[in-house]
Amino acid sequence: MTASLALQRGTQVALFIIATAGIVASYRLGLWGMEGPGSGLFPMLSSLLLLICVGIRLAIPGPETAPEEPVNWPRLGWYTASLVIYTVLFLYTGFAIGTAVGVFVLMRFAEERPVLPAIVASLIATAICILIFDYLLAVPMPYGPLQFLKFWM
Amino acid sequence: MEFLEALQLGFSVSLSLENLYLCLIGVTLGTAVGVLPGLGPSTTVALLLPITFRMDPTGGLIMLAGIFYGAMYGGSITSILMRVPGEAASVITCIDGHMMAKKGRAGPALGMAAFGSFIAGIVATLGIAIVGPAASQVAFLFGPVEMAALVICGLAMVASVSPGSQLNALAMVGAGLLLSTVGADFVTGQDRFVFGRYDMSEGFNIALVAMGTFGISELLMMAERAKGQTGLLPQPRRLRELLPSLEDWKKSAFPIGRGTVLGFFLGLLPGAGALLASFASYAVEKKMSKRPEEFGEGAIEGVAGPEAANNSAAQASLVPLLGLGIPTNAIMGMLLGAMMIHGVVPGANLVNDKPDLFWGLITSMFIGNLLLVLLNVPLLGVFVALLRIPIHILSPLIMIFCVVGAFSLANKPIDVLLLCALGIGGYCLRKARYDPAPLVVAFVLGGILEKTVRQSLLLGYGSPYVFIQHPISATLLVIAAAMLLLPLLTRFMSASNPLKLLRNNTEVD
Repeated sequence: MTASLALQRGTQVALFIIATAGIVASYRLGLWGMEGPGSGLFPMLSSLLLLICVGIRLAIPGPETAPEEPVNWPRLGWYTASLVIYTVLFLYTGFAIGTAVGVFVLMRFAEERPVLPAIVASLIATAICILIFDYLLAVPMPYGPLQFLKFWM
Repeated sequence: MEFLEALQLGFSVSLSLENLYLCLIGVTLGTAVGVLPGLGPSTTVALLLPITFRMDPTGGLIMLAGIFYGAMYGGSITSILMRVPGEAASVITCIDGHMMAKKGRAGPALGMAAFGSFIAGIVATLGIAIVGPAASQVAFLFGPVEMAALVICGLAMVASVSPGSQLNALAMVGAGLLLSTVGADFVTGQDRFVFGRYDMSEGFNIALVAMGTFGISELLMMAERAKGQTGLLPQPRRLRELLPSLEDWKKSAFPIGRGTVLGFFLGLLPGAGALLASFASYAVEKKMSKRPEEFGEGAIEGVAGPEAANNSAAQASLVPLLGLGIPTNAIMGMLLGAMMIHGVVPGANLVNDKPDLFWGLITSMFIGNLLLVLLNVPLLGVFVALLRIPIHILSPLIMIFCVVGAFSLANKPIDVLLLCALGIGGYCLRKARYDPAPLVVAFVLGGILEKTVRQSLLLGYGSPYVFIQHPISATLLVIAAAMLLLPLLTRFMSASNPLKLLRNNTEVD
């Protein structure tokens, strides 16, 4: 089994599990109450639709399709890693540090750029972000430990 | 007041130097902010609303309307170029628009989106001016039972036009509906699927779901290709080659006309009129086309019709707002809020009490749509040049704008995490040949469907037969069933081996 096919089957199994969990949780929420349809009725119907469709797909996979282009797994892995790193740092260290580190990881490791251009690009990206979102659109961005910079700026 | 006199009054207001300037600023700002991935019309209007606070009511509302349709077009730009829809109604544009961009036809796709929106906007504005107050009564024909049936019909349509397997599309409809139930139940207040996190009580934001399943997943799809491969054919550079050709116009003329009419009537209905209109237009064009196999592969009709329908519906949704004071969607709700801030009370008396404001706003749409085309068509070359940006520069920008855009929706850190999860999930779904478009549409319509189904069941004392007792809803449900079952039945009838057929049918739409 190729990695792509494994991902495909894994996704279907995950959807099946989500649908099953949805049915159980919906039942616990209550399908019908004193005042009419309960909180669980609609999620139950939605989960059932998902379960039936994915169930049929798992039972009858369909014909083999043309092979896809080869996947560059290391590059995809670095992209995913930079996204996760950016997200986590955004939450814990604020958006400026998160943006700089996230872009650096993407440029240096996924796109294999030299260190200095990667650093410069990450700093420029952070500056653009501050300019557009913080200054022009006045979105209250989280600065984390760099909060003092905001007052200074 | 005579119609022509009213128009004259309106144009005298909207063509004043100050209002013309405000309209231009609104359209420009709306396009500039709407073009940022993730920032759809509702977010753009919300972000730019405070600018209008100190203006006079007419000028402020003209500027807000300009921001609104500027952002709508801005959303189409990112849908076509980057496959990142700014709002749910642009999801359908992603399918053929982005395929056209990949095939080196980004210019005609963007051009047709602009011209289609312009023509639809002008016709819809005329429609509002002529039949507006009377047409607003259509909204009263649709109670909860009819609305539920309309939404079910819309979902069936989405599943039937989605590229790839219809079964997979239906699965995504189920997933989208399930996702829409996350958060507090609007009737009982009971939290559902929030895992003890109070910041998830409001559920997922639509822009978040669209950005994750389309924007971030597209980023990961780009990443899986070998370095240096963009998957894009070269784009022409001269403006003449970027504009739609005569052949494109021939193909798009009728779709634009049909989309405009369809969009106008669906836009009058409460709920997701623009979204349903864009999908309905796509479904109609695919069914009527002599080459339905081209849909999903870069058919210009798949851009022209939905864009016209989307814009027409967006403008028609002003009718219930101005005529009845009923906001039919989130953006209209924001415009209603802006009207209240300016001391304007929308409703049946608005046209008599403040004719200058009412007709000034209506005629400013003519001007705004014209400005939108004048502004954006010469810039087609600049927009298309975005595709020439090397991937190592473009991909960090998409990532940053999606993540920061997610945070700016409600200033909630959890949204950033959810975006990441939805993006990775969206990538896995696409690899497993599940199209995320039905998921996003079902997510948007899920809230309306649940509300109306529950109201209908209460009206019917718990009996589901209520849906077939109302003539409009019964008709809509028959249409929905036909859309889902007819292709399957015709194939079963002509098959010698039903199991083999089912196997094939799950792969072919």
